[in-house]
Amino acid sequence: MYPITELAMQQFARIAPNVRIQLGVSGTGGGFKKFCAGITDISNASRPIKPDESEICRANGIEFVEIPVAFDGISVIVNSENRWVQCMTVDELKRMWAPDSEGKIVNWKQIRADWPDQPFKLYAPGVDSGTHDYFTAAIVGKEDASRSDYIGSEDDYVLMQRVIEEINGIAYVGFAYYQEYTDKVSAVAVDAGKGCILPSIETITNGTYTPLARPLFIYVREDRLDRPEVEAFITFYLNGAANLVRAARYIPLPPRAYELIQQRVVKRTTGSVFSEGVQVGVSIETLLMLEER
Amino acid sequence: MKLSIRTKLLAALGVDLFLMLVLGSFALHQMSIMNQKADFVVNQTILSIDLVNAMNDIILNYRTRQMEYILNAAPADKQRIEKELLDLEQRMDAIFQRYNASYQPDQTERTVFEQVQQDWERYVYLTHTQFIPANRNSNTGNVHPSFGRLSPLYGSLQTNIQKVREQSQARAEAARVSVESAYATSRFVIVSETFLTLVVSAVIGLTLSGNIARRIRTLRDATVAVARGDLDQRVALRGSDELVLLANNFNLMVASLRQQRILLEERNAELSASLEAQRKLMDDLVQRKQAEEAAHRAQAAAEAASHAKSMFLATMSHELRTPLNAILGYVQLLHLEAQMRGRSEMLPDLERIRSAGKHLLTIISNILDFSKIEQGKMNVEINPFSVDTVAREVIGIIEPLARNRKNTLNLVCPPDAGMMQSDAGKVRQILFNLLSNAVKFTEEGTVTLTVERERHPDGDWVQFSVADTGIGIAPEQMAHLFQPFYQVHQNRSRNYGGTGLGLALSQQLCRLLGGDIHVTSEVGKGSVFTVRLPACIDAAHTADVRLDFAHSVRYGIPDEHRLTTTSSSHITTSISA
Repeated sequence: MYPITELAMQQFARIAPNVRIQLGVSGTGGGFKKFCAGITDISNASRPIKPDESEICRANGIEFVEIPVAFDGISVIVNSENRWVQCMTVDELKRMWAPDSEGKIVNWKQIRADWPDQPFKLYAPGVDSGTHDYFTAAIVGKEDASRSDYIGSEDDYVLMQRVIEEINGIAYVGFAYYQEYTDKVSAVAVDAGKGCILPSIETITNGTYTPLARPLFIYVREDRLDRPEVEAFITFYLNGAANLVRAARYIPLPPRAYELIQQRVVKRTTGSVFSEGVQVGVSIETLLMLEER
Repeated sequence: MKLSIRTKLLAALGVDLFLMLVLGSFALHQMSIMNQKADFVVNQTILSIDLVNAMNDIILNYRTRQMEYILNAAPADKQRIEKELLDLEQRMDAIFQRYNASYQPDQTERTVFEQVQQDWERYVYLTHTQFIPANRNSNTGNVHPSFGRLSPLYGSLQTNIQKVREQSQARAEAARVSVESAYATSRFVIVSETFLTLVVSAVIGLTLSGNIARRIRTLRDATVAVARGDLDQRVALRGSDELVLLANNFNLMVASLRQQRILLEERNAELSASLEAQRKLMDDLVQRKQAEEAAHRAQAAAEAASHAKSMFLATMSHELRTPLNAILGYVQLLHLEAQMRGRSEMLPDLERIRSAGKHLLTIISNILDFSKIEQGKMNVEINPFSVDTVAREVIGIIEPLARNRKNTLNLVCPPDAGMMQSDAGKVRQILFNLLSNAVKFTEEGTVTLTVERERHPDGDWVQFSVADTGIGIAPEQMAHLFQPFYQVHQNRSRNYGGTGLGLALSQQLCRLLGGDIHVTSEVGKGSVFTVRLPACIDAAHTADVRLDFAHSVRYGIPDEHRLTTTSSSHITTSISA
């Protein structure tokens, strides 16, 4: 989420130089904690808000408007000199990341017999991050169910750096991060039963890159929309969303979706359409359908 | 091996020198390779490692300054840090220039280095376009996300610089390995070649000295052998050096010695051959002398034996003749008495006794005559007589015998046969013997006595020929015809009778009278006996005849022993007959 918001801030600063926006980086979960504690006004999220987070917000008297802004495809990346990992099935990814595998599955050869007999090094976003939540839900089948013997970081760039530095490294990051350094790392195609699909704007848009494609959100405090600069920033954000998202190397939503979301902001419709929290396999079509309801 | 010893030694020295030169030049070559590699390490690898370290320092510094930039809120600090960042960028550019100018990396290393350069430029660009603008006014002290987004680039830079370092170290290692291998190679080659040189020198030295020593030994052995006298020695040395020359001269010397020895041996052989010849001559002489002595002894023995035999025969004949004459006289008286008393039936028996006695008397007379001749006691009574008369007398005596055997008896005697001065009795006896033989061996044939007189200026010869048409004599028997007691027709001797002494006696008598007797004959047609006698002889003749006779005995039977046995057997035969 960070690249989009950063870009939005830089551009907003040109038209409103007097507005000072502070941008902090954390995981989605961390962000929601601050958001529901009333510390932040706007929270980026790489997943829908969970019911328990919603509950905390409500308890603190904080109402929010949920704004989907882009689509992402979590990208599994390896070192650019890794010649053996081209594609992995969902099962193989699960075997690599499942809690049961901790301390047992440590070698490339254990994942696939013809891979080298070398230990792999796992890098992943921390437990606070939405990417982590979504990845575990989509791959392992249960949110937050992950082995813990990996090196974690809330900063996807650091994960990228590690994979660049370590030939046996493997990590999963947001599509935009991968897109920014396609020349430094290699993406791994994912086989969910319909062949190996590499993450790309095309495969994420048409829904074939599954199950790691997901929507990205910003959540804004309903009462803060009263403040003109916040209202202006959100409006600026949504008006330029398609361009911003593209510039930040994410996948924009269809124009129709942005219109519907704009109306929600205007109407100040609060609450989340994802009453059950993280949902795997939410396509752009599904999202549109949810908005029109 | 076609070279002189001096040349060989020089060649061996040359080979050694050559090997040592090769060794030296190779060692120089290897040392120059090692020097080059060492230069490379100094000039390139060390430089490269220095540059890489410098780059690393700058990047680390740059990153640290960025963090300071975030943490320091005061604008003055931020300006200072911006300046420091620019300074670092300039230093980095200088390093890149130096790298490009004075370093010659290989292709891999250059690719990685270019990557470093690109990443660096991108990093600097992002710093100036995103990091500095985002943080210039920030004073939160929070690490701004724009710093984080540089992390992958930073990681890439570090990774690639590490790769450059590794490449550089790999090159240094390769250089080191190559120096090491050059060292190992040269050590191996130098050691091997030193060894090879030693081996070659040793082989050449040993071969040469061994060869020379062996050949000198051959020569020495040959000299020793020659000294012992074995001149068949020949020294065969291969090659054409001084030793071979020596060997050839030695061979010539030995050959000359051998030649002289052969000459000596020939001389020796001639000498011993002549000695041998002399010895043989001596042996021959001795043998001949011995043979002559043996012959003399044999002759003497033979003559003594013959003499003894003749003496015995004469004595026996005389002693036999006396009683025989008495027997014949009394048979005559008995014959007359029987006629007178008319006892005619006794007459044939008496006649047979008288005839047998007469025959015995004749035999004894002949033997007596024969022995007399041998003894030289036969007396020759020389008187003049008429040839015609004697011939007619003999014919007259033979006439009745010829009639008995139904033979025709002819006498051919010319009127000029004349007189002979010789022993008439012996002539008569000879003719009687020949004619009685002719009549005896002829039946219903013709017996002719022919007398001829040959006139010669130094004395006349009278020839008597007795020819018959009888059974003849085979040529192989002619030789024995005149031997004593030989009978031509022994198997028919009963038919013909005789003593076997007639012809032998006739021959002896002929010779006694200075003549001789010959015979020609053809089996089944008849024989011709021819007697030639000188018409006139004197007493001197008789001695010559006796000598001739003795001579004939000796040559007829050469072996002394056989002479005695044969003669004794003759004697026994004659006695028992």
